[in-house]
Amino acid sequence: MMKKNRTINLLKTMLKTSYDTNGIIDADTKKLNKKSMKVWIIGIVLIVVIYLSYIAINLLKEVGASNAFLEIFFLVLQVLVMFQTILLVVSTLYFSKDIENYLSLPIPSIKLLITKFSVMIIIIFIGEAIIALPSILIYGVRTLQNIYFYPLAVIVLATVSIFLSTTVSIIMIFVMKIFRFIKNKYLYQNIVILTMTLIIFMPLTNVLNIGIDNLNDTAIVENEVYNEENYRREAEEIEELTPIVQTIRNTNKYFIVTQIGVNALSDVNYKSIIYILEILALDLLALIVFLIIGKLTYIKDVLWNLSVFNKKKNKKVNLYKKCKVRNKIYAYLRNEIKSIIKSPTYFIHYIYNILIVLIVIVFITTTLFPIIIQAINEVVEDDIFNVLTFGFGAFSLIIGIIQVIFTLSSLSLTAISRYGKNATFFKYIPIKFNTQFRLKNMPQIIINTIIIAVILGTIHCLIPTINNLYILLMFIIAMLLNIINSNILLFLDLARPRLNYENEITVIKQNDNKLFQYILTVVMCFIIWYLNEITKELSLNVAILIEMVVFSIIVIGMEIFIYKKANKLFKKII
Amino acid sequence: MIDLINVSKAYRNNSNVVENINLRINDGEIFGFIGPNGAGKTTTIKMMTGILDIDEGNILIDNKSIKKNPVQAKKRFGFVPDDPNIFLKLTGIEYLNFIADIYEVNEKERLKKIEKITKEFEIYDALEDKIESYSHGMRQKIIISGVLLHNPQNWILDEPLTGLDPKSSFNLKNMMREHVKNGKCVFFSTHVLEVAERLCDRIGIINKGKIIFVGTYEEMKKRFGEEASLEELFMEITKNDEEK
Repeated sequence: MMKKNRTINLLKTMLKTSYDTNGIIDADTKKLNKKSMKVWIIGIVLIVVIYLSYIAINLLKEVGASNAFLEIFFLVLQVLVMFQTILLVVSTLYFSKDIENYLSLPIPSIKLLITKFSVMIIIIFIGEAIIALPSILIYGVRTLQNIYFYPLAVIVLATVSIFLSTTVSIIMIFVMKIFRFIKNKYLYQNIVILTMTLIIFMPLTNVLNIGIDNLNDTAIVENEVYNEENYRREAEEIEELTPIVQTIRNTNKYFIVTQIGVNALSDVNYKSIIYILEILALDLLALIVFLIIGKLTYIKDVLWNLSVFNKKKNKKVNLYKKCKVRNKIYAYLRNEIKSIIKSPTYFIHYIYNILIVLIVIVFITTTLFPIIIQAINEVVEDDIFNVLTFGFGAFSLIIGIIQVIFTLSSLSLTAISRYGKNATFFKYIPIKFNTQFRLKNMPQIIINTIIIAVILGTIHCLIPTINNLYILLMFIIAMLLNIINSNILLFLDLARPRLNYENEITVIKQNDNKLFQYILTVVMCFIIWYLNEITKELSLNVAILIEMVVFSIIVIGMEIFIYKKANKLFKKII
Repeated sequence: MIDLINVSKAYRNNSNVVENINLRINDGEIFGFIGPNGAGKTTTIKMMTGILDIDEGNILIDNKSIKKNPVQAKKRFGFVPDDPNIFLKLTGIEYLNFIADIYEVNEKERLKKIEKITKEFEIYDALEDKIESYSHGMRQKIIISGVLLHNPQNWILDEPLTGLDPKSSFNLKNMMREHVKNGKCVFFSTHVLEVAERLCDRIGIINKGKIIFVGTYEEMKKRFGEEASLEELFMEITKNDEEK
C-alpha cells in the first residue's frame, strides 16, 4: 500500500512539473476557474471541434457514408498522437528539467521510466479528451449509436493511443541512439524530431499514395473483372464512398491497431469486445517490448545525455573569426532570429509546427485535389476550370485561408514576453523604440511570408488557370494582412506583457494573449467576408483594388501610430 | 556626469515611490547608493536607465536628457542589472559581439577588449559555452564585460558584486577605481556597506523614496558620530528617519 502511494505521489509530482494546470482549477474552491483565460480557450476549442465534427458527420450522412467519419477520425487521431509522442519523448521522457532531481533519489530505474511514461500518456489523454472525445461522442449521437458505443469509444481511444505512443517511443529510443554523434543538444533534439517525423510521415505519404493507386486499380478492376465476387463487393462499397474516403480507408488498412479500432466502433456488438481485447493484447505486447528495452537503456541514455550535453566545451575561442562587425540593426535582428532558432522549445512551437503544417497541406492538396477535380470533371463532363471563372469570392476564400493559417504562428505575440524580466534590456539600449518594434516583428513577418508563398505557390501549381496577375495581387493583399496581424500581435504583447515566466514552455502554454489571436482571426475573416459581400456587384479588379486600399489604410494608420507612440507602447516593460 | 533634478515617481495608488530626488554624480567619482529594501533604489536606477518613465523632473546623462533625447543619453552609460540571466541561449562570445555591435565598437577595439576583460575575469575559456551553462557569478561577469566593452563615460551598476568570487570582486573594484581615474563616473547600488565605505568617494542614502543623506563617509561621521562604522551610521540614519 505504502509502495503504491509512493508511486502515485511520484506520478502526481511529475505531472505537476510537466503539465501546469495553474489557473484552470481554482486553488480555493478546487473547481473549474471560470475567470481563467485558459478555461475559455479550452471551451472555444471544444466548441470549434464539436461544430466541425457536426458539419463533417452531416456532410457524410448526406452522401450515405457516415461510417467513413470513423476512418477520417482515426487517420487524423493517429497522426496527432504520433506527432505528440515524438515531442513528448524528447521533452518529458529524456530532456525534462526535473529529471536530474529524480536521479539522485532512491527510485528504481524501471519505476522512473514507468512514471515518466505514464505522465506522457496522461498528457496525451488530456489532449484527446479536449480534441478527440467530443468528436466521437457527436458521431455517436448523430448516427444514433446504442448506449454501449460511448464507453467503448473511450476505451478504443485510450487503447489505440497507448499502442501508437508505445511503438513510436520504441522507435525513438533507437533513433536517439543513432544520432548520438551530434554533440550539440539542440541540434540533436531537432534532428531526432525531424527524423522521427520523416520516419512516421513518409510511410504515411506512401500509404496514402498506395491508397490512391489502389483506388485507381480498383476502378479499373471494376470494369474488367466485374464478374468476380470479391471485386464486385469491393466495387459496391466504393460506390457508396467518395474517392477521398476510399483513399483514407485504404490508408488505415496499413495501421493494424487503427483499423481494429475502426472495426470495433463501426458496428457495436459482441465482436467489438473481441476487437478491444485484440488492441489490449497489442498494447500489452508493445508495453512489454518498451519496458524491456527501456529497462536496459533508459537510465543509461538519460545519464549519457546529461553528461554529454551539459559538458562545457572549454574550446579555445577564435576571436578573429567570432568577432565580426555588423550593423547594429542587423545585429539586433540576427539576435532575435537566433534566440528563436537556438531554443528547441521556441523552434518547435514557432517554426517547426508551421513547416509541418505547410508540408501536410501541400501533400494533402497535391494528392487529393487532382482526385476531387477528376471526380467533378466526370460529373460535369468537362474540365471544371473551363466551366468556372475565377471571381472575387474565390480570391477572398484564399485570402481567408491564409489568414486562418496565420493563427498557427504567434511569434510576435511573445516577442517581448520571451525575454521575461530581462526584456528591460531593450529599454536601456540606444536603439529607438519604433525601430525595435519593427525589428521584433520581423521573425513573424518572415514566417507569415513563407506561409503566403507556399499557399499561393501550391494554388498556382494546382490551378494553373488562375492568372499570374491575380496570384501577385493575392500576394500583395496577404502581405498587408501579414503586417496587420504581426503588428496587432506585438501590440498585444506590449500591452499585456508576461514577464514572470518560469521557463520557455510556460511562455507559450500559459499565454492568455493567444485567445486574442483567435479573436483577431475571426475579425479579419469577417472583414474579408464583408468586403466580399459589398463588392459582389463590382468587377473583380475593382473589388481587389478596394480590398487593397482598405488594408493599405489600416497598415499606414498602424505605422503612423507606431512611429508616434512607440515610447508609450514599450511603457509596460519595467 | 549624471544629474537627477527634482525626480519623482508615483505608482497607481498615488503614493510616491521616489520623491523629489536631487543628485549630481560628478565625473571622477564613485557614488554608492544605499538604502533598505523597498526604499526606492531600483526605481531610481530604472528611471536613470530609461526603463521607467519619470513622472516629474529630469535626468541628464552627460547633459543629455533621458526623457527628451533617450538614444543619445543611453549611448553615454553602461548598465549592469541585478538579474544577470539574460540571453542564456547565446554563447559568451556571441553575447559580447552582439553588445559590441549594438554600441558600435570597432573591430580592433572589441578584439583587444574582449580578450583583456574576459581574461581578467577568468571567463575567456568559457566564451564558446552557452551563457545558460554559466554559474551565477560567471553570468554576472559576462554582463559586466559587456558594459566594459563599450567603455561608456558612465557606469550604472545595480548590485554588481553579488555572486562574484573574491578575485573578480577585487578586479571589478579596481576597474571602477581605474574608470574614475580617467575622469569618468560610476554609480552603483549595494547592500554591502563595507564595500561602500571603502570604495565610494560619496554615498547617497535613500529611505522611503527620499534622499536622507548625500556626502562622503567623513562628512557622515562628522554629522552623526565620530567613531561609528558605516553600518552603524546607516542603522542610525534610517532609524531616525523612521521615527520622524
